[in-house]
Amino acid sequence: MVMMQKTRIILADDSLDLLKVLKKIIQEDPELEVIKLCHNGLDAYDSTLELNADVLILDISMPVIDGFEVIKLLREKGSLTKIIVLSGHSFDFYGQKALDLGANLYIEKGISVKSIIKDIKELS
Amino acid sequence: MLRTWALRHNAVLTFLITAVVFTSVIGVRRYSTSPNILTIATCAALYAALATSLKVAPILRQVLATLGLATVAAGMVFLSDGMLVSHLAFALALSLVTLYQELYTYLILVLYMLVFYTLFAYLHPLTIFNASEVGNNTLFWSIIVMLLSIIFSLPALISAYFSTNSLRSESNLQSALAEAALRERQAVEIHDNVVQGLVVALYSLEAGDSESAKDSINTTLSSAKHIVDGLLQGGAVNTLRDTPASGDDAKN
Repeated sequence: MVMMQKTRIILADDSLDLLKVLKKIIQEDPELEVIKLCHNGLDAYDSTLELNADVLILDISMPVIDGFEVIKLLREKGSLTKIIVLSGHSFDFYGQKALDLGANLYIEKGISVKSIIKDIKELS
Repeated sequence: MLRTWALRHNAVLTFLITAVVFTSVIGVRRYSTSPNILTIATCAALYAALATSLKVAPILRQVLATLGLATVAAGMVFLSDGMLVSHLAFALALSLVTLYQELYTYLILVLYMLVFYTLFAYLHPLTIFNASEVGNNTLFWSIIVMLLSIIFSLPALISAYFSTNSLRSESNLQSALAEAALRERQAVEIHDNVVQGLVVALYSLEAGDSESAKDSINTTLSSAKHIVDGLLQGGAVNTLRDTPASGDDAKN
């Protein structure tokens, strides 16, 4: 029997409630696995490098270091982890900057998690 | 601000110490003919030493340096045996204290001049005026040299006034910018909190957890009200809206 390789995901957001509910929905998909929840940018950066995650779902406004800094540092380190920015602000506000720094996708918070899962699968 | 003050104070002190050394050397050499010079040089040196001390509060150091400058200017008058031109040492001292950009240091020096000239013009006029230059009109010349000193120092005083105003405007502008940045950060934080709460509610509904969704909406609502009430505390609020709330707007 061939074991299917799950997509390993790190979720980074300063809202614990949001992390919990996102994890709950994403974990229901058999192809996806949430391997770490991070509450600040520095933790997201360290964990992504340490665990070599396939996908990092990242908020922009976070304590310690913000999402922009995380993207920049990860790309400078040569990380190949796909980065999906999940932000409470519209694309016009932060989107282009995030993509310019090396994010793979910019999603506005509020879009359905099913749609986010679809994007994760397309990216990974 | 303190750094700028320190630079200006050091400039005044440098001039004061140089003048004290100069007055002391001449005072020692001419002690037999003018014993006042050495006394004045000693007083000025004491003022300079105290004005240099870091243990003394800046405001007092500035007053001590001002008194030092005044004393040195008086020393110059004695040193020249009361030549008229030497009295303009007070004009130089007045100009120098404008570096502090404080009116009271200037007024202290003016007061010093008033006392100095009033005392000596009545008690020992010929110790501060050269008889061949002023004759018996020592009171008249006292007034003239005081007025001239003030007039000559006026450009420095006016320049200090405008410089202070410009610094105040710059400082006010910086405060306004800092306040605006703070308001912007608070607005972004309120927006983030509301969006986060609503998104959690939305995703909870998507996960089939309507209780969590309801909790999240209630928490967000109460948190937003709490933050905005805190920000508006004590301030007069304009309750007239430019546009109706979005629900009403959508109906139109």
